[in-house]
Amino acid sequence: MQVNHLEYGLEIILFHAEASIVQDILKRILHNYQIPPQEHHDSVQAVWYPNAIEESYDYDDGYALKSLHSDLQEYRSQNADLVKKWISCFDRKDEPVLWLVKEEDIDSLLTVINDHRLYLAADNKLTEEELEQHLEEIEDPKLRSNLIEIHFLAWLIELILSNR
Amino acid sequence: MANTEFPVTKKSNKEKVDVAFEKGWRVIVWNDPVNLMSYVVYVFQCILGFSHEKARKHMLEVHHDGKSCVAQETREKAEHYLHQLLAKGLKTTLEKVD
Repeated sequence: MQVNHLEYGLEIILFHAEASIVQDILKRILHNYQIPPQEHHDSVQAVWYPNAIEESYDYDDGYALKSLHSDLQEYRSQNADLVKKWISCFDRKDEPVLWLVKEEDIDSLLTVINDHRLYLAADNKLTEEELEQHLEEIEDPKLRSNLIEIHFLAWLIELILSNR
Repeated sequence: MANTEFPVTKKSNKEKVDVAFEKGWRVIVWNDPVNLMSYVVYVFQCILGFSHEKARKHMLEVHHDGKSCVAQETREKAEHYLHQLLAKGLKTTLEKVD
């Protein structure tokens, strides 16, 4: 994987299996963005639509919390439209795949990738120790594959930020 | 008809105005094991307008102390930051200044 920052935005070059991995991740992100907040697992709701702010903040009438959740849902819905557009970039079977992201969409791309890392960690209830564990020490294949994805996306975020 | 004053309402309105303009709310960002340090620095720069140096200082505070107060603002502005930081995936709360 290679990331170049050009005049119009980002050029992400994906080699071999990287393109199908990224396309598959984007499809799952889109699917998860389309699920209504209350239908997500509690651990996911806690990071994507948090209620914990009630502890330190006056949300007596529930209005502020509703407004927050509605803003967060709207924000994710806007990002879902972009994800749909990005998925279509992978329809051509070029080798390597060139994924072009407009300058004004880079911030959303970073948020979307980060959202998916948060989702995977919450869905698997990953602890800090598990996130830092060597992959070869993890026996559960599902957990292992989710951790690989979390680290792969961390690499992509670092590449994007270092090319800004 | 003589002008009737409503001191209670006037006082109440004044209080409301004072509260609205008082920078009485702290925006707190909490540590979490998933967000990357570089990403947190980036978000602080984008949302709060911090320089790279200031963003890094607050990120390290979050990392080492478990939390950092990134702003003290009016309720409206603090809520605005809260919404934006949460939308970026940072664990954020508001705290009323005593």
